[in-house]
Amino acid sequence: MSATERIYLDHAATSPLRPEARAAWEACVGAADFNPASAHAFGRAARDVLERAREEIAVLLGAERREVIFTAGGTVSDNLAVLGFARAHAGKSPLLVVSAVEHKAVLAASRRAEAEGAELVVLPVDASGAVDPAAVERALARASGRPALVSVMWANNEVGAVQPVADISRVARAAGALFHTDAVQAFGKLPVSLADVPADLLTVTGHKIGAPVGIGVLVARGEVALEPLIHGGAQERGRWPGTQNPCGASAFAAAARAAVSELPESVPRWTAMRDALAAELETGVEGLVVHAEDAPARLPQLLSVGIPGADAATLLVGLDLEGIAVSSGSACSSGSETGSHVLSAMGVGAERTYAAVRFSFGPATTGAEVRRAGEATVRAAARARAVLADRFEP
Amino acid sequence: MSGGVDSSVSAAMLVRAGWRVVGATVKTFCYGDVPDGARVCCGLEGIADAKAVSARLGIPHQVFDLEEAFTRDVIDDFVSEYAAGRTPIPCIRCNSFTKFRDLVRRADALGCEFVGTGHYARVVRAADGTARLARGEDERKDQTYFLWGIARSVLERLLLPVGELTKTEVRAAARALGLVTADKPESFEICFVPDGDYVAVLRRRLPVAHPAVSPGAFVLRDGTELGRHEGYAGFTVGQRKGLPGGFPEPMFVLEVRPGTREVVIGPREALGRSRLAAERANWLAPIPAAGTEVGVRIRHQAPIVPAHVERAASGDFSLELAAPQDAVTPGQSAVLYAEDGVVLGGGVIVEPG
Repeated sequence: MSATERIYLDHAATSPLRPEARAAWEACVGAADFNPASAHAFGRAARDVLERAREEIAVLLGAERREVIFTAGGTVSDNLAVLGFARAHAGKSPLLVVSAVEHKAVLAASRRAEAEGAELVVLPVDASGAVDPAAVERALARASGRPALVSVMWANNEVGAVQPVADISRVARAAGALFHTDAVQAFGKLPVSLADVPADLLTVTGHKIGAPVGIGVLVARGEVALEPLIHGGAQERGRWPGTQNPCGASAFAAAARAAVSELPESVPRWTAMRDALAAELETGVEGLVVHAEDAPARLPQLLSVGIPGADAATLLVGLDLEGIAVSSGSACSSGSETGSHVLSAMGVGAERTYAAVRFSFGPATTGAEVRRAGEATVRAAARARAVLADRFEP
Repeated sequence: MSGGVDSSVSAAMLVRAGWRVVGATVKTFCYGDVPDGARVCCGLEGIADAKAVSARLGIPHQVFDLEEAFTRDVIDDFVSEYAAGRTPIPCIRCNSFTKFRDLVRRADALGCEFVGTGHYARVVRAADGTARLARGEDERKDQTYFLWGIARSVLERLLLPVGELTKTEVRAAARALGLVTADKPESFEICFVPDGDYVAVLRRRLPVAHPAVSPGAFVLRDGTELGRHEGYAGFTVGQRKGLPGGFPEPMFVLEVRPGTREVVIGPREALGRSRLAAERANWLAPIPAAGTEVGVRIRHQAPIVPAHVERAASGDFSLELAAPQDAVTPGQSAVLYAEDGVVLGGGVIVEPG
């Protein structure tokens, strides 16, 4: 099958370079791909590109320019927020309150912080995948004067549930705690602004919105104390030292500008395609479950479904053979993992034979592509169920 | 695709021959029960290598999680066989059930008409056109001993490209193709017994104080007690290691008696057996008539020795060996060969009735 016949519905894993980002990248390369820390004219050109990108991303996120820290990506930003906070308060037994459905970058960094002396509270979610702000409030009562950080993602990468981050940020602030939100999946898909959600720390990354892999941002408001994870220079206010990436930053800013400006058009278009796909699958696959269907809000461009009694690997490779590129929950899973921590936290798919499929759209995804993917999924699901139907035979 | 060189080259040869290939790796076993994906699985590095090779070949690749069925069909059997005083071969069960039944079922669901593996064996055609399993080109690498339990319907659609090559040729082909697995060392261990300490695995999985892992006596054939052992599961017929000393000649395990927990030992000449009985038989060719001369292999890489079929039925057979053989071990497999190296069938060795 040629690449042109393939349908890419895995933008939540990586969304390929979009034209605006490519143009920015190409404008930078050869003109400003120098070291922004250099004092000469070349360095100044690089610094100018970098700082323009910083300014643009700050405006888009409702932050101050100086609050934008460029990093190597979302995992770095999440680690810098969580571990950086905990280490800045080492010895004071800081309190970390995170949700059970966070990305592993937050969960694993929190566990690391716990091993280093922090107290960790992992909050449950309901069956829709949503965190209860009252549970955040109760957890923060344990802080009793200690430094505390709440980390709850803006929208979930596996099932698309949008968290009540505005309420949670208010609860955190009222309790004197800091609030971090991983907005990697929400940025460019929903309006994401610190004007609406006054978070102290916010993570976004480039490759989910059509910028290259290798550039991310942590917004750190005001004078939030963060201990750097690595050491070696004063770049990014010492919080993520190392030679900066002006062309990556410029491409990120261009992709972000394009994605955010398209939101009034893309959100209703994605929502309609998402709901049509869900309806087609619910009709064609008996017993199919739409994950996070009852969440207060869901990402418009992401649909996660579960098919009980189907073999996940057979389903995925069946779709791959039909040229449909989707994901089984989170693309970060490897052979070492036993299943989705997000689905188990939601109490979904406890049966061992439960195939979860995530469809995620990009700026150029068409309704015809989504329909074809839906038809292929109905066929592949039937085969992935048949394979298990007689599994105790001889 | 285990991620080893043999299955990598097989996949490459099939791609080159024009097949539309889907790479598949089986996840069989993970250690521990830590949540959040912290469990370490058999062959994780193998999975990464299989993915890298598949990416190089431009074919889809998928990991199929068969852990539950593998535990039931392979590990549980491994434990209960040792508990019954026998010496099982889990790789044969894994082939018979996990790979050539459960994984093939996935291949069916994907519309794959053929199944390719990296085994050193060949598929040949009998006069009537039906498929036969035959020994591979590389005598030293021949893996037919592990494949006697597969269904004939699978044999009909089996492709074994490296069976036509020697190991040296396979490595050369892998290097020529630039496959990352070209110079990977071979693995000989049982995947769920990574350190070779299978008794520790049995102790974890058997009830505390199960007879197989409880002290018992070493005895001679005449019943004389010679000392104590820590559990008969640690002994297999023909074993020399770990037996009481002080004899003028080397002593060997002759028999394991789970009922009394006794391990019977004796000199080498007492080890020989001239009859062999097997159960759980599977035939890959017409069942041989009584009196047929066959070759039989009773251990992996043991020589094929001549024997006469005493009786052979669909589920069991017995043989008269032309010369007594040492270590006819209950739980191991007896694989029957025709003169031309074609596998007739096999079964699991039991104490002769």
